[in-house]
Amino acid sequence: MTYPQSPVVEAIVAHAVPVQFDNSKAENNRFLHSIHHIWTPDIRILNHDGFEFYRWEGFLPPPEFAARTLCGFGLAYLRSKRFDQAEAVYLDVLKRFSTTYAAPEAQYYLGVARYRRDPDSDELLTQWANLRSRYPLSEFRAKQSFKDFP
Amino acid sequence: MPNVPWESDYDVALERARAERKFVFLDVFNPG
Repeated sequence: MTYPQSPVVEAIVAHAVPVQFDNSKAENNRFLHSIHHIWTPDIRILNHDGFEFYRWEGFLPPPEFAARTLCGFGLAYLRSKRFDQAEAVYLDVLKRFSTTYAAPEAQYYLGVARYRRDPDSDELLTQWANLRSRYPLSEFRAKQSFKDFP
Repeated sequence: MPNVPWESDYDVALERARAERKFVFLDVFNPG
């Protein structure tokens, strides 16, 4: 139901090589045990050395899945210090999926990506001000609430 | 309708990700 949707396919193939494991096959048990698999769907975004950058479990409808996937790639780019690509992904989420549960995360980390790319900019506070106004009840608003705003 | 072009081998997926400067999107599913 989810994977044939174009936004989902596009999100995945633009940024990753996709691979699946069927948890009903005994031949996969050793690998699934090694990653502490417990529930499906179990989504991991990994570096090419197997390091886990991002993960989530449980069904999401296609728009939410696409947005969550893109945020996963955004954080993977960010943690890889590929700031331009992180920024592009987060802007895409905010443009196309602004009403999804993942959107506040994109708004929060857009500020982080721009700040880490240029610590002298005021982008962190600018984007976090947007977070405050656009997603006031979000967990990510709480994450930035330590900052005082005039 | 399009579908995701799943790589069948995990190690090949890692190697392709390295060569293509991409990440690996791993999905553990239950067919039931």
